[in-house]
Amino acid sequence: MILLQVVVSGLLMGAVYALFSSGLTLIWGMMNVVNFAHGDFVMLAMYVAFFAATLLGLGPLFSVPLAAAALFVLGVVVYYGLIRHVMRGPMLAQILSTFGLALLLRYAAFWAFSANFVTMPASAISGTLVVGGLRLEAARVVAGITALAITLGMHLMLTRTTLGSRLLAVAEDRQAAMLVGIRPDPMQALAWGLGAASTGVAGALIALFFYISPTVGESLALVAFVVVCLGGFGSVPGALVAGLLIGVVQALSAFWIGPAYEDVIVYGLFLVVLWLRPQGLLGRA
Amino acid sequence: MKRAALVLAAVVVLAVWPLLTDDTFLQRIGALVMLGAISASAWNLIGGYAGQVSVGHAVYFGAGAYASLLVFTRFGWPPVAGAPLGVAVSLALAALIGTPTFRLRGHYFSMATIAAAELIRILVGNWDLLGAAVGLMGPAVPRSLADLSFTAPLAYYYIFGAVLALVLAITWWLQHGRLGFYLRAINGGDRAARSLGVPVLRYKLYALLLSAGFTSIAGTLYAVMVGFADPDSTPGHPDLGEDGDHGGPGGRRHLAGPDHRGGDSGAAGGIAERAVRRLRHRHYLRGLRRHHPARRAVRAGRAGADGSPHLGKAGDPAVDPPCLRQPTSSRRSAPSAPWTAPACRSPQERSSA
Repeated sequence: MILLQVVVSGLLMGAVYALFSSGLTLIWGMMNVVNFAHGDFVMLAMYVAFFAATLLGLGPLFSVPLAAAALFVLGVVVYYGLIRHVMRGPMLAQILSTFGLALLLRYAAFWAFSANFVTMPASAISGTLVVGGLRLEAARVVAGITALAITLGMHLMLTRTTLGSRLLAVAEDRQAAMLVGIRPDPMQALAWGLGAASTGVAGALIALFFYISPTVGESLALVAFVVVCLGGFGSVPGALVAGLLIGVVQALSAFWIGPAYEDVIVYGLFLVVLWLRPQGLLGRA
Repeated sequence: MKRAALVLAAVVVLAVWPLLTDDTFLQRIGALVMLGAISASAWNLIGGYAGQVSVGHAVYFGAGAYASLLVFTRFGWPPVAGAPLGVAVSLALAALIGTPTFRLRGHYFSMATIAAAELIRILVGNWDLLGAAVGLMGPAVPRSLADLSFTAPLAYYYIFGAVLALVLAITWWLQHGRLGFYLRAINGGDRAARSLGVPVLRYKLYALLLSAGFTSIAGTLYAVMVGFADPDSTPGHPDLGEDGDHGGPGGRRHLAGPDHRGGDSGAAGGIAERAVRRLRHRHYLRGLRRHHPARRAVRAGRAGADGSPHLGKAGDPAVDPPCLRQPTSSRRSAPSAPWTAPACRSPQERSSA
């Protein structure tokens, strides 16, 4: 029973991982740029939700869309202001620019919000639910289910709509997409916007049950890399499966080995997958 | 000549300016800049010359810092005596991390180095021998000169400056040897380098080992100066920002010139650099050819003895692929097939075309 409890909490957390990782995988699949600042986007979204709750008194129903909108704008700005210029440059420039962006955001957050850990006011979503003998934190249940729904929605958007087809066309072959009249620039900006908006939703959801600090993004960014590599880059369903898997692996290793080492197992798994199957568990070669 | 004069002037300014001020704050900043420059030159070997962007160099920095404080806390030795231990641990870690990860290219390599660094940071933070999350302390008061514990930052400035000069001298020497040419060939492209007979994986590993060793020494110097190391301030931190690699990207410009595309550079970098790049590039290819196993074998009069799989005359694509041919006068007279031209463009050029 306790094992089931651990697995279910892992799945709920995994759904949130899947959400922001699908944003990373979208950006990566679209233009082969790794957003090393992805975790710091999540951190910013958490602060947006925090200030929406403390200053404006908004509940999660409003703070989640607000954070998504704010991060969408940030993603588009980052694309036009930074990524568009380094995209064709050497890989070193790409890595260092997003890495530099991560440091800029992180230390700007230290400066603006101080290094203190904060948590959302208790009025948000609190209490526990008892479902068939499982005791689940309400905030995690809300976060997990919302994240799952939005990840699935993103997948449907990519596969079932014209807009999604355009995005995928640019991802597949930029020049061929231009030949059929799709301008790649707005599509890539949109991919950055959507990728960042996914971190916005995920961050606002994580903030419901997690501490908020300027450095919280670090470990989340690594989790996103792990999920994307496991799922195969550019694949939203892959990110979903891998995200859930990582959530469960993390919960189980925290349960069996100890919470201090949960990330050791995850990073170790990441290295092993990178070495053995760089195309991802579900990816194509 | 002019360049040598500039370098000399810069060295004199660097050596003299701290004596002209008695502001210890400025002197301390100067010492930290020197330390950053050491880390940066070390990172430059793998990130600059070989073009492999490691973002996990804080591991080696931390190994150096922890080793020096460990020999102090366990055996009461002066911290600087831990440098060999730190270098040894760094080399072992570099081999362990590098051997599998060098099969990965580009972003994947960078992410693997982050993950390895973060993994080690967590392990160190839970390891009692290394003080776990609390960290290790150096000697509270200097016991002898060997502790290298000074109140004046000026002393650190000159110690770090001397080490920096040594590291730069070694880098300069390596740059003009086989290692330098091979690394720049690797930077230009793994496959092209391999087609020229460069043992790519082995030389990437050599570069990483050298880089890790120097970074570890920077870590030791940091621990000697600051007298403290904990998991967040030194090892495994994925930030380039925390001490170790802070100088990395910034110092790279200072030490190696902002040129990361293939040609490389000496100690000054800058505009003059670009003017001579063409010449340089030719020189670099000639050097690469000179060090090619086949050439060496031919020179030594025992072709094939070193087991090189492809021996051929210049112009044989296996040895001398069209992409790397230089339009020197002798070659220009032998026109190359026009349809080989597109293969010579890099992916970046192709996408911008």
